[in-house]
Amino acid sequence: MSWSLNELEALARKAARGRGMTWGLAEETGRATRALCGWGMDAPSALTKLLQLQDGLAHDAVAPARTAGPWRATGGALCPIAAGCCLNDFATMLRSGPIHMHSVAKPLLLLGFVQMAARRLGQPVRLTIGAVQFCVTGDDMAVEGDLPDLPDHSDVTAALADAPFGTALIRHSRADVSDGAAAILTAFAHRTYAPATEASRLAGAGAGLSDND
Amino acid sequence: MTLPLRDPNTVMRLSRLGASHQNRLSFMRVLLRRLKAENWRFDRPVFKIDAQGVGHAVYCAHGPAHSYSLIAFAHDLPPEMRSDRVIATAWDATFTLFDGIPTTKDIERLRANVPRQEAGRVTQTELSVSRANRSVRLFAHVVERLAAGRQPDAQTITDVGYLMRTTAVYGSGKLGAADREATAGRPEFRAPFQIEMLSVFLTRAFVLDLVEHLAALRAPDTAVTMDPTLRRRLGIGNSTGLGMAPYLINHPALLNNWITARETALARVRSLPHAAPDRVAAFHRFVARARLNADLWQSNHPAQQVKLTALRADLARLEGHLQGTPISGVQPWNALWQWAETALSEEGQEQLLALMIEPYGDLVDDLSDTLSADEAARFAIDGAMPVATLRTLIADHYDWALDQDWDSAEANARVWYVSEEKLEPRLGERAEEPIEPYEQPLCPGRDAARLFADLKNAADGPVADFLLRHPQHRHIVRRVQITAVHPYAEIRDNTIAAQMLPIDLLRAKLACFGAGHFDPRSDRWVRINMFRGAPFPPDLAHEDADDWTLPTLEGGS
Repeated sequence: MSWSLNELEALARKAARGRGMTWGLAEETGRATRALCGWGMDAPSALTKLLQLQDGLAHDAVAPARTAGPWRATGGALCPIAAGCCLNDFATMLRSGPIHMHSVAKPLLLLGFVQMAARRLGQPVRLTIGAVQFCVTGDDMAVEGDLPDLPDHSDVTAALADAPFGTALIRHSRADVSDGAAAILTAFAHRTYAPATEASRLAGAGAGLSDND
Repeated sequence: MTLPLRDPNTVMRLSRLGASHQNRLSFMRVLLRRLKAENWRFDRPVFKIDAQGVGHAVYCAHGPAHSYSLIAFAHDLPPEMRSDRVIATAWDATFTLFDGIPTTKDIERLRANVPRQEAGRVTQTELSVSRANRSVRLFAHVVERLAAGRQPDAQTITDVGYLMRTTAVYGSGKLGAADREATAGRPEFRAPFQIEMLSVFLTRAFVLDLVEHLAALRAPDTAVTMDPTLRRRLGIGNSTGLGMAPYLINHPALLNNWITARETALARVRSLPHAAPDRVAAFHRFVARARLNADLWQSNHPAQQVKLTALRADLARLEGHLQGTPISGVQPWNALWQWAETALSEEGQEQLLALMIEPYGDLVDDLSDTLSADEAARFAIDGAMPVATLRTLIADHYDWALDQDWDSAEANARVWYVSEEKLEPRLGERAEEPIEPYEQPLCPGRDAARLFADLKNAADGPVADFLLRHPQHRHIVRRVQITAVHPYAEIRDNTIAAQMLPIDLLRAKLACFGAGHFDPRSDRWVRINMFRGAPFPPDLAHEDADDWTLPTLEGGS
């Protein structure tokens, strides 16, 4: 179904929070998912699988344990949201050389963060995921290789690129969200809603006065 | 010399935000000025509504480059189903603003969805979705009177002020509609909420046509149309609840731009070296009209009654002051403002702000171009910022939060959460309900204080290092970095305090929209009136588009 990007961003944010991410990381998840849909990629499906894969894991288990040397998580695969935030936060490290990430789950989800980093640095960034390479600038995105070949799980390298390369991706103003992904993301989002009580029904919205006059 | 803007520590307090008044930069006024300046044309290609009030109508607005159509669906709603709460499932009328001119096929598609509101689905050609309910007090009275060949009771019209009230106007991608980003490049939608305001402006025209139409169907031989003066007094009511309250907190850069525009307007007028006599005379008339407006403004809510009493006393004091102290000499507006800061309540001061900029459209109206914000551009955290800099920023901009005891029951009393049942923002009591795990990030003051405490022990180095180990602070670090360059981004008050009034947040936002006659119905929802006194679409071509927010001195309202 066709979703507006705002709707999708809001759902992704809530779903990430429902998986247990902090609000700040959940906001990043919303932005990253939106950004990818804006490039026509199936970010909702990738996010769905990521949330299922890492449901309940602590941030420390899925975030880079240290940023000196290759980035890796202590608890298995790196979370692309946690690693992506780091990539943006430590963007200036790219000026000193490539950043290698070991074993990233759903690495496609890194792209939105790479774009923020490229914007900050004012220089294109090459993101290598298996056999596929992305050229990311502050405003555009291009790909070299076949998107269907994108691995589910992969080592990743981010490095400054001297010049743009690849086939430019086209901007999309809507997100195509499968019903399956929407249902799973909605279920994660649902965890952020407080069960109603009789007291909250009455007091929560300040009802009580007639509104039919 | 241009005077500085007011201190954010003064401006951004909840009580003062809750005393906000509409002004020249309010979004309804920005819209009508543009419609007038660009000679927008209006027509009503479809109006098919039966005697039961069921059917649909299309109202078109044609601008220089685009046309937009309000598609209105009118329903026969049983009285027991009429509720303004967001949880309602049926309404007297439902609407969508369509991008262009709809075909019959479009209308049939929308007829299957728009009346269902949240349960329906629209597409990128729809820009907003909204609904409205009749005022039981007024709607039937007006139809009956008009059918009988008589005019409705003028006092009742003044007291109620609207025939229908909207209960939600959804824009920007909601329910599948077009994202704001899809149309924000069009000049007419560059300022905030112009789609929503256009929708309400056309809704008002529809509702007035509807009562006259129903009266004519009921009694074709005797029915009359409404006296234009009475017609004009009717706006569109609106009930706004907690759903809107978090908006200002969730959009810090946007809030900053709204307040900065207003404060810049005030500073420009205060900085004028002299006041021309015609501007002074205009100001005097606006003050007199504001007094009338304050007298007409009714509310049964005790807190609002206190404010209204203060406002009326302030305006009387202002008139007295003006009699003894003419607006003359060097920087006369600044002198008046400085007097007001010592002599008037917050209500009076904020009203004076609106009145002082009123005669100076040529000086301040261009600020409407600065109301929007590129929020995406402000999203990315600057991880290279040194921890010491972040500490300093918090000390500079959140000092109001650092001296509070956030562990006290009073300061930490409330929790903003979203209820499972209605999927709407709610406000609960932390100590009394098991809702803390569901808390929304809507208390920047507390979060900044907690961040500050953790930063005390943090090693020197970039914020990036700190955030890798403290992901719980990522949300507030982003806010602090936004606030560092947007001084009015943050409400500088405790938004979860035991005594906090959500209606202050609502009024601040609704005043920016251009609403008036705020009438709180509890501490968490408020009735307002929109476009009351405004010209109708066809009148814009030959009337002043921007002199309608205050009643005239000739006895109108």
